Amino acid sequence: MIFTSYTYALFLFLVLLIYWGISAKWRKRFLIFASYTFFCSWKWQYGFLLLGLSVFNWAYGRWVIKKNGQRKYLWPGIVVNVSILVIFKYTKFIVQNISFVNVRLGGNPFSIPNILLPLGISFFTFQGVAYLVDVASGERPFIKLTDYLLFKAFWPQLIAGPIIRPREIHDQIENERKWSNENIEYGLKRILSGFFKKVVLADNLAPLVDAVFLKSASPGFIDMAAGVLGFGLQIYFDFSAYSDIAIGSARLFGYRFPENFNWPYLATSPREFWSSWHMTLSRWIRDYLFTPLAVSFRGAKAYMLLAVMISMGVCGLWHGAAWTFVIWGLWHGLLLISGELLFPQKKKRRPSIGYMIKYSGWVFTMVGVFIGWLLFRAESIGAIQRIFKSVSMAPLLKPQLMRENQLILVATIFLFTFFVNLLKKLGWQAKMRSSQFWLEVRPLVMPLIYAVAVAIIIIADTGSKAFVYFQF
Amino acid sequence: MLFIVWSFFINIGIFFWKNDLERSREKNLLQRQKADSYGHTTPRYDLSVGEETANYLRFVPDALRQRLIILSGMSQMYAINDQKDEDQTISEWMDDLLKASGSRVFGLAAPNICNEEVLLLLLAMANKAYTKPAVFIYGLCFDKFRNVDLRSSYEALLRSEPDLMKKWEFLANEYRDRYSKATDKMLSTLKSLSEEKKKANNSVEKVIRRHLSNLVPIIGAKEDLNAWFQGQLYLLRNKLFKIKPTSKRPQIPSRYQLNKEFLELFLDEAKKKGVIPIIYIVPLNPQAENPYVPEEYESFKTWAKTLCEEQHIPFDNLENVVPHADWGEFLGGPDFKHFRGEGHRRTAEELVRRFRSYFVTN
Amino acid sequence: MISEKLKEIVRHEFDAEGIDLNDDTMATDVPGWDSFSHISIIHRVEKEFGIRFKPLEIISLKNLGDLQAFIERSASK
Repeated sequence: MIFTSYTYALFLFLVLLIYWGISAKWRKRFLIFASYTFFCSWKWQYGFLLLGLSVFNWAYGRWVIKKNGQRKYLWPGIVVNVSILVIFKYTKFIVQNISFVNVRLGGNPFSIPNILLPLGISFFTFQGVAYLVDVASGERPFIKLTDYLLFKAFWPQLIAGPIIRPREIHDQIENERKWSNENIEYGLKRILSGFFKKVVLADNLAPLVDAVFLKSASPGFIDMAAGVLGFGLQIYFDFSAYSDIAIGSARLFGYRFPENFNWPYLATSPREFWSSWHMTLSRWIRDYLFTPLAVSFRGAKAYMLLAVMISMGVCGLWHGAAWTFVIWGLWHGLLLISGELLFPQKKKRRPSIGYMIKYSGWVFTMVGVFIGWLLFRAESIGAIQRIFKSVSMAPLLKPQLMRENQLILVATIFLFTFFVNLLKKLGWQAKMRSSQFWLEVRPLVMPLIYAVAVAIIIIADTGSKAFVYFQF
Repeated sequence: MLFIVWSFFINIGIFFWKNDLERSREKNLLQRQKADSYGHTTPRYDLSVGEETANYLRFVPDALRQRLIILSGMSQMYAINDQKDEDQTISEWMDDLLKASGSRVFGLAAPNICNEEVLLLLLAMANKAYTKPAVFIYGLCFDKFRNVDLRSSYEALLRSEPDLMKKWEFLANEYRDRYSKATDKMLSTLKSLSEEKKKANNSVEKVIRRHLSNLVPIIGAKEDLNAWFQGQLYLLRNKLFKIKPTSKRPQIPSRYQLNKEFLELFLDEAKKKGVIPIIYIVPLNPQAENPYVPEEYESFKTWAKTLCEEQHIPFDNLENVVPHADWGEFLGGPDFKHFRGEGHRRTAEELVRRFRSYFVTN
Repeated sequence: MISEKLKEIVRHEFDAEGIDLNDDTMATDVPGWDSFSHISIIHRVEKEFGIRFKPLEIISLKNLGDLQAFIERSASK
């Protein structure tokens, strides 16, 4: 079931009732049961895959790594996790490429296998690798199988993260969770925020973005810019919404998850962007790929650059089995490197120069990131070429595809969220929150705001594209 | 918590507001009468104007027993300004004029209809022998070439018949080389339909939604609320950008191209299926300023005329057949594309006069 | 107890003279501490203290206290 559906709301409600209703010693097992129900609602067969991998990782971590010391026993475990990912996600891609090369050499094309991708596989295999490495580096493994099963399968983080490290959740799983009104309130607010971002914002941006990237479309420059800006917003809202709902859902049961997003479009350097975008993934890349590579390549700075490129290339490939994703990753690698050279983090500066550098860093980052989104969203290299060709042939400022409403929508959403978050970052929100006026008015106004937000979510959820039934 | 209190109040408010909302939505669609209150007379056109078309297909006269003529187009086909009791729409007038000769007319119009939708209507009608028309008339309205995408009820129509979806796909592949933009759009429509099917076909979700729609006023009224809200945004936009009904709206090149291809595809397919397509340029109010860029409009009419002449398709320009007196007003000025009851009658008479030989078998 | 040398390395990396560093300080407590700073600090520590890290060892370091302990352990070898 999808997070943003009435079905999920019902599921959550029922599970919550039962969870806090039954005695503490059954709760974990019940959560595992609920999680597998959630996962199997897509395709029950994959429940076995998840279970099998979970048992394997738990046993491997508990006995093989712990008892037999580190590195050489670590690698087979990692290979098992990664192979599963590769088999399900990248077989088609690999065969396509081998076939392509074969055809170029004069041979016949291979038949491309169509393997159905288990949802969440990119996440739970990466989590598996993280677990094994952490245990090998000295982390305490999960002793009880049920604890590990919960760690792995707990549904809020199963399908789309956040990727949780064992140390962040070990104590929470081992110890009893206690009901707290605060947790319930926080969890519900987070879930509400997620629903709002997805149903009201991301889903309304989607049709306009799709129209720009359609094969038959001939976008001009303005259309492409709107499409790319729209997509950057769409993917942010979409993804951070899922994280919000995940974090909120987990909190209802007393579990604290790590954050995944920190309004990345205010970043003043590519480096800062990756510290605020999909934080648990970039943390994974940093700890399990980049740092080991950079440390092994110790010495020449050039090797560190290579470590960056390899890490980002893998990061790109993880997002999808296509060359456009790899190129996107490598593009970000280049951004990171050039960002470091152009806008080095340290060095004390005069405030005025500091602001200028921050501002130009922001512009540089935004342009770089959004060009990246163009690469990410286009379905193939051919599509990128097609779009550029179309843009070059059309007048620069005249929309070839978009109506004013759509352009206004994108601009409004961007400006609104940008300013809200800028004010947040500058501390104005905190100031307002502590003001006397707000403290008095808050208990009356906030529930109204939430009620209105729910109303807006319900109204915005009207299936396919919005239509304005007017005469023109 | 107070949250529940506020939500309760909102819902009470919506409960009382619902009827007003529904009426205003119908008004915006320029619907003539409430869709389900046609009383004793059998509907002779899609009264839901594209909102619930599937429910009206059963009123289409049996094509096996008489010569069936479909009239399609935008809101001009059914909207009547300053409506009086005895007023009828174009398709109803035509039906009256031709009934005696053994031909029946049924109207399938919707506001802001685009050419992809008209293609779908043709395919849906031709799909079954008892709804397959002998003649399909489509009135071209230039500003509709700015619109794209199928509306939800048409999507539902397509989705509900698997063999129609197959035909849609087959068609897209067949014409891929000739109409690359249109066929690509058709395939993408299909793709989004099958994704929707996966999402909404979750029967649990459907059941929950149905029950909630009945129990919670705001969920039941959300379509109307959404339409109202969009309407407010639309008015705001017009105010901010000083857009009036007479402000010139140029064509959007990519969409214009797409619609042109869909029209050509429609004509090709109609002929192939043995349906006679008839194209006409819709009447415009001679004394109202229209929002068309003159050069663009002229070249559009030339293009349509040439296209039909080359393919020997019946075509005529009915721009000037309805005199100024028969039009109405809109937003304080003359309405440039919706007329009064007289206008409907005149248009019907003109269509019958000019294309009679196709309507009546001798 | 974090040695002055280590404190100086961290402070230099972030240009932050006044920052408070103790056993419990984690990477997330210091603004701007990301992958690049991580590697930078590792390299400097290796240079200044004459030790070498293995990748698995780096992952096991949770905070400055761990890092300090690691330095002391390696130095005594």
